[in-house]
Amino acid sequence: MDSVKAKELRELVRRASVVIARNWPMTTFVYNNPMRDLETLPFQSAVRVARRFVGGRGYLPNEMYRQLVKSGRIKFQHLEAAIRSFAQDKEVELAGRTVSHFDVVLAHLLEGITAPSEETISALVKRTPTSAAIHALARRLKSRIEPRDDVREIGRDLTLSAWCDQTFYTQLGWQIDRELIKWCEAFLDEGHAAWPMPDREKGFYAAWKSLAVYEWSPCGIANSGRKIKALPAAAEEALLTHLDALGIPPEFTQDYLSLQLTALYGWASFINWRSEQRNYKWQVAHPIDLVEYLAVRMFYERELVDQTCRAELGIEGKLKAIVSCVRDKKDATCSAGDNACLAAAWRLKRLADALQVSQKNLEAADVDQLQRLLDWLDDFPESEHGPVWLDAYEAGYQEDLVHKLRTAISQPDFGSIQVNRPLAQVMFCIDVRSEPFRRNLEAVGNYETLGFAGFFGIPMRCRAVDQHHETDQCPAIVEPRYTVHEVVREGQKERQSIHDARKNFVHMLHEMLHDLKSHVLTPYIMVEALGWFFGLQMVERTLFPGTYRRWREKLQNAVVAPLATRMTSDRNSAGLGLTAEEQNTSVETVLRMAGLTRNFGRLVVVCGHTSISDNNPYEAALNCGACGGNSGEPNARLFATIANKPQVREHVAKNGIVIPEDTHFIAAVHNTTTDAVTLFDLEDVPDSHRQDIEQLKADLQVAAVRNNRERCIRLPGVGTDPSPARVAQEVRRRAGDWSETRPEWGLSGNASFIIGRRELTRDLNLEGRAFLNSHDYRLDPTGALLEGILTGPMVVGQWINAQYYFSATDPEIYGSGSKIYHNVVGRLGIMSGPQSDLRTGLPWQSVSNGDRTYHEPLRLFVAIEAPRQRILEILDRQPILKQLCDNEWIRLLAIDHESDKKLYLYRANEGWIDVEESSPIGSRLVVPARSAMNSVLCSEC
Amino acid sequence: MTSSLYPVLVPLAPLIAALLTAVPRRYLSYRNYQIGFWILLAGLATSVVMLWQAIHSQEPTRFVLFAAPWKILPVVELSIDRLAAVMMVVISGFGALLYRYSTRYLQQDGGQRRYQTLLALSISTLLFMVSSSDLLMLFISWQLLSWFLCLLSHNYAHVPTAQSSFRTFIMLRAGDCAFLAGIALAYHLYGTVQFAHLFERAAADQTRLALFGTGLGVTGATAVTLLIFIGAMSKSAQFPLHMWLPDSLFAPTPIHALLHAGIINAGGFLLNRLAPLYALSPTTLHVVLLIGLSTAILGTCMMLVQNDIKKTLGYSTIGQMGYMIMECGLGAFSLAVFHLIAHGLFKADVFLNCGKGIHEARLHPKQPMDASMEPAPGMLGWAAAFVLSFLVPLVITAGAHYALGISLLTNQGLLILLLFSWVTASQAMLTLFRLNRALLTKGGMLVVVALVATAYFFAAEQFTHFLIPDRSVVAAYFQAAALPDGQFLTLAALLVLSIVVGWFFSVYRQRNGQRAPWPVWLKVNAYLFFLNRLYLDGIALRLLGTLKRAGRVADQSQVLFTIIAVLSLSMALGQTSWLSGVPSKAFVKLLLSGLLIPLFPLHAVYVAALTRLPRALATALGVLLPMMGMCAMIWLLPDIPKGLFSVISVLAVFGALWGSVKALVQVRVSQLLAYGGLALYSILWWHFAQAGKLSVPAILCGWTVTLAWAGLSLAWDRICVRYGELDLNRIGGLFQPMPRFALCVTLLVMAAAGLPPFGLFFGYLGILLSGPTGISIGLAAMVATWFAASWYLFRLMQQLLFGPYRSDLHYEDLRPLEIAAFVIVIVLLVIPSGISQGWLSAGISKVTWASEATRWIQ
Repeated sequence: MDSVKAKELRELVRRASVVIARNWPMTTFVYNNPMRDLETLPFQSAVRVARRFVGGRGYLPNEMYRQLVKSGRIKFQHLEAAIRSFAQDKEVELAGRTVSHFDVVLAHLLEGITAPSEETISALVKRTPTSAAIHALARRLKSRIEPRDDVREIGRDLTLSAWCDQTFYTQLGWQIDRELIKWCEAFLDEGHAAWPMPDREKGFYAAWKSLAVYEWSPCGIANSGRKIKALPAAAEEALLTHLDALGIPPEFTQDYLSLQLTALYGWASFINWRSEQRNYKWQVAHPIDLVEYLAVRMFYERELVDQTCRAELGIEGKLKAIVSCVRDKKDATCSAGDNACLAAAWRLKRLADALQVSQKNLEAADVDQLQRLLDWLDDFPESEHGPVWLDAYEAGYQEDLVHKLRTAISQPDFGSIQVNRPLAQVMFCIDVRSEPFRRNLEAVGNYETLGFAGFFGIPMRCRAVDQHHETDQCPAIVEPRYTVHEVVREGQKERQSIHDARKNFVHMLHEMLHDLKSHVLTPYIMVEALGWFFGLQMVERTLFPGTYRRWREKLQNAVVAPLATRMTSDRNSAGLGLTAEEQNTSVETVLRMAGLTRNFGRLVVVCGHTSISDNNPYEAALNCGACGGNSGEPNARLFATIANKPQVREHVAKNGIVIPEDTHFIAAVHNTTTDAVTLFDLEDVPDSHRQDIEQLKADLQVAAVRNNRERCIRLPGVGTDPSPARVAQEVRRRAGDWSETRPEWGLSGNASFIIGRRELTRDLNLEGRAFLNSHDYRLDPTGALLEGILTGPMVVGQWINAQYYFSATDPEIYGSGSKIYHNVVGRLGIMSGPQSDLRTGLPWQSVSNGDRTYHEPLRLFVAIEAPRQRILEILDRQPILKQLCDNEWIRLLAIDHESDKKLYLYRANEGWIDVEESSPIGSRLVVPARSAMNSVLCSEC
Repeated sequence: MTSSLYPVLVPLAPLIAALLTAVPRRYLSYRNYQIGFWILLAGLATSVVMLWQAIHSQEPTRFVLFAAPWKILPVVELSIDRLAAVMMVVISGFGALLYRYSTRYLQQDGGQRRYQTLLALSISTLLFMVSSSDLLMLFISWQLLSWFLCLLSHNYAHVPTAQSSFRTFIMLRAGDCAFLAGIALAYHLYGTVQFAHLFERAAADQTRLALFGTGLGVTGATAVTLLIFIGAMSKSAQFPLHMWLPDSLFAPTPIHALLHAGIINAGGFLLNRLAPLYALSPTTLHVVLLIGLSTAILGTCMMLVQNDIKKTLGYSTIGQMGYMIMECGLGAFSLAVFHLIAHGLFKADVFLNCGKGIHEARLHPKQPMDASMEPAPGMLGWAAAFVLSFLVPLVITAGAHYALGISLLTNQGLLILLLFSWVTASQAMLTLFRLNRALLTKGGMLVVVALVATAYFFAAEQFTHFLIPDRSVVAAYFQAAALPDGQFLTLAALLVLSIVVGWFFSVYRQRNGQRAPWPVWLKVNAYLFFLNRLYLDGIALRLLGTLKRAGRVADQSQVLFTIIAVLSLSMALGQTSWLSGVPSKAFVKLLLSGLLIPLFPLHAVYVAALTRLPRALATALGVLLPMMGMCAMIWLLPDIPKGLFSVISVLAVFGALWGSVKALVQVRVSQLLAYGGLALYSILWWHFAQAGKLSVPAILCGWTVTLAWAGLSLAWDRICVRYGELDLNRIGGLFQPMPRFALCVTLLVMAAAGLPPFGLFFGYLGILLSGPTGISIGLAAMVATWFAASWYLFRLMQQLLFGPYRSDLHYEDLRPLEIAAFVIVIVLLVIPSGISQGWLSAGISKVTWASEATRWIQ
């Protein structure tokens, strides 16, 4: 096969793969936008494309939006504004009663006027009290209703196997999926199976081929061994053969491949991610890519479709043959039946009821006018309601936030220079969960808090003491640049030897248990002899989860006592650590970006975050996203260690940031499930600061209690006014309960990203829904620092936001469904039950609160305190940012405090628009001119 | 024998908890679940008291539920001996924990109420099962568990889940049928179903049975135990009936804990309960041993190739269950109970904790082709390793037995089990050796292994003594299970060989990395064999495909029907001397009755009435025709010549099979019901032909079939009124938008499929128990018909209620009046089972209510 053709095919598969996502392994749950490759399209179009191929909902179900209207969350004026932006200025005359297009659209939105399936309509009408009237109406409409042809095109919207399933009630799709799940599970396994799949080093396609050749009749394919043996050796060639065999014409190929990829969306997305990882050790050892995946998948498709078509219709399984066969059948039955008229009449009746048009008016109305009403309804089908609802939904939140920010900047003392020295500066991660804690800490004492991406500017690989592997401690969009190890502090030789011996013993016990379990003859006696101990554990964990966790920790510490450790900071001969220069720049950049250049307190706390939960496959999703789904501890400790070095201080002082002698940096970690803050490396604290540390600890404790309460009320099952004891107990339980599916809300609720000084938000309760990134535009005349924030943390924030957004709008397809069915597969991901697609996104429990969604699916609202011209310049320099804004994946708000103390909203093609010019604000926030409303798909996809 | 009240509190507690959560949604809050948990704890406390009492008394504690003047079962009672007490503590304990766990785990799940209720009901049923004192009550619980288990799959909207629940039900139902046949046989042979009497009479009985009139004969005990063992195989997932277990993993996680720690152990419990009976049949015990051993090995091998945690645990359970059954087959009955408890604790804990996998992977990620091979030691090292990891374990295990005074040489069973202990200890030692740690660590480990081994042997021995205090009984069980010397030596030699080979294999791997010392094709084929679940799925797929095609042909071909009809008639008439002296009046009577209550090939009228006429009329005729038919059978038929009975008998067998096959392939509900009716009424005809009259159980059976069918027609009618007449595959997922309708249909299907507590089950049972002795084709056909009814009725329920619902329909649940109609039907279906007077005994006694009534009318 010539390489040009192979290359073309690879490019084709790449283009087909834009509809799937990238799915990181669960061990480092990386938030990302499931439609990241579709960000080149406007939001609406991307959602529509994804709907077509993946089948997921990009908006909440309309019924849920209607409930939000009832509950008052969606305000009527916002809905009205959203409709006004596209409503036509037209009216219909119904025997004296006029009905405008706006009325119809509004009624349609609020009532959902869609007729049920035509085969059931007559039974439904029969049961309605106004059945006679509807029948009469239907008779009048008889000549007007044209047959609707909404059959999906075979080969473009429907794979051939899906067509077979639809037509013959076979289960080819599920059969193919099962085979592929089986092979993906076996091939991608990262060390779960005791007896792994052989030949994996050959690559997916070759390994499959060498095994499947021996398989007996997979999903009933006759002579499968011979057929597989005859397949070409190269995956590209095999894929082309399959396409050829199915008779897919070139203009359909890309769509067809997209459909094949989205059939197992999660597995394909994981392979999509993995094939791009050149250094991922499992990919190096067992290579796989989408072409190989498709080559395997299409084999089953081709054989099964052929087999089924021959058995059922006596034709070969080719697109052309099937299409002509279908056409022959369809010609026989093609006219709009009575049921279609009945459905139309039923809809008109419901519309009339909603608009309070009387029966008399309806009867007397001209048929043309009625026809027009129907057209309006048809032009705005329920599947297109989402964008309108979303605009109204977002406007409510945005109006609220804009209102709060305006109050803040209109304070008379806003922006005045602070003189008193704070007790401490505490630097938190930008994570939305830091916001309430910062607010509560500031309320306790004289603390100044800052927000900075939780890896604190040090992208590194880190190895913890007692571990054999390194973790990537940086956001997924950044490559780690340094390697740092946690090492045991000097002077603990004896302690360490005991520690090691006991550790070995425990390790050996574990290994022994594992060996006995994965053996043919030994698990039985092992279970008989040791099973009883597990029972004890089960009782305790279920009935006394808190106590169990405490005891277990105590026992662990008693058996293997922890050692005092430190981070290796200085570059050593093994290449670990940072050079002096790297240390200098790191510290300086972070301080400058965070806007911390003067008025240092006696303590500067660098506070990363982590979370504790038991039996939770999603624990990485609750950890620090900026640290690659790990705890922020190593980064915080390293940063504090470096920042305390005299030569670093000397260097930054030279560049104008004078850190006083008596300022000590200290590392901390905020546990987001319990709000406990642990301080690290206390050995290095000078005696002069002991008092301050004690004070800090006490204040953190108070803040934790306050924050516990605030968070607890939002969690289900506690009520609105719990006692402090109840709060403490509940929080402790959630962190250690193995039956808890919702240890905390995580980043659920996130909706905005605020870049600016703390003065802007200090007095605001942002309800834990805002990422707060400290930035002082006055220290950044060129905009370079802001550019860094917008392309780094803000993009990560948008990924997080998008992941939550889509997990909430479709928890089954973009989210990972309910946790109660979850099954950890291959140490890398989650399935639901024994065989399913690999789940992507967040579980239902992370976004839903009973029947309601807890996470409001809103696009990220980015508020930046900076001159608006500067922001525009950045957008021009960074096409990715411009694309995000112009395609409405995010909304941008500028707080131009410098020039005119006004708030401006960015709009594609129009630039900045003053928010205050109109009232209500919400109506201005809605984007008008929805030209794409009724257009079909954009041609690119 | 002592009698007291509180035993009933144990199974009653979960029942109350179930009622507490089954209340309407507006009375339900989180508190209900909390109270439910406390009630379950109270039940647990009571069961601990029971255990205490059992420890201090040799006699079982009894509680009489009610006394009935039935011949088959004079008194229905709970009887709690040591085995039952232990099982009660275990089940109530698990139950309480899982209930608690689920309360949080399923918080805010839409189906939590249904889930918790079913969970509590299952626990209650399990408790009734272990405490029942007769086969019949045990079997009632046994069947209910099959039913609850498939409903507990929980995620009805998910198509693969629905399919797996269907598969679960069918496989369990197959076991149920065999079990039922076993009970019927036992009753015919021994005349009782109460354990105590059963064991006594069975020991004295020497009947030999000829299979289907062939020369092959088995003893009565062997036939009974084998049939019942098939029941145990299906519940305990023994090869080849294990297929349902891995598929059932679609259910929520806590269900697996209940399943793997509770329900699946039912097989082991059953064998223990019937141990005295099994001890009578060495043949059965050898079959049990063979099935158990092969399940253990196959299950564990399949476990090794799994790539996800739940399937790994699922197949591991299959292996462990195999071992448990194998222990029974060796005669170590009480050890099987020890195993099932230990395994239950272990597996429940691991299942509930299976979300931990990602945490483990984060903490200890693995490398592809784990290259961290430690340097291999030299020759001396090997020798040391051999002693340490091969001989020392033997010394430990044998020494522990010696120290505890367990005699090994007198019984084979213990020797086999000793081999398993040896290989386990050996593997443990091998780990020490593999990791190559400091000598001190190894020494410490050695001590740990020795201690654990001794403690384990001690505990197991004590447990055996506790369950079976009489040592001679234990010895007798072992004796009964003893294999002929040649077979035993082969088995032992094979095990020893596998230990040696395993040891060398491990060492080989140690030296040569992952390369295995066998040819590639063997490696690949073995891997594929286990990865593809022994190819049983493939076989099932092909078999079902063929059957489906055959069924479709049978459904559409008129010729085939004619051939079968002619065949049946000629066979039927061949049974009797050709029409000699049969008055034509008798023929007319038979013809008339056969038209009213469908008798093959006269069923066309019934089928046409149900499928062609307008719905309301069809429903009415569906009730009227069989009613009239039954009257005709009572009053017209008894005086027809006896020669005709054998004609009827043959036609009934044909009708039952034909109706079942037709019902299985229908996609329209009315036709499914019509042919299902033919099949079930054929049972009635068959029984009529056997008994020469319509006995009370048969009337009960006919009456309940008619009622259940009326209920189902009504349900279908309600669907048609709402959505028009749709094909079965055009409508589905109704449980979600129409929960009340779903509940009614579920109960109706339960009744129609012959599940307790509905009358049909008792009627059918009565027919079966009063039928002729011996294994006949007719009996087999009737059991098959009953099984097929479960199949198509469950599928009907599944297609209506399960699966995703169509969002393009406007759903409307039942209205109060409609609910009232359903409630009446369901209540009428339950009532006959509550009538305690006489009906079960009536099947046996000569004077029946029917003939009384006949005389009265005349």
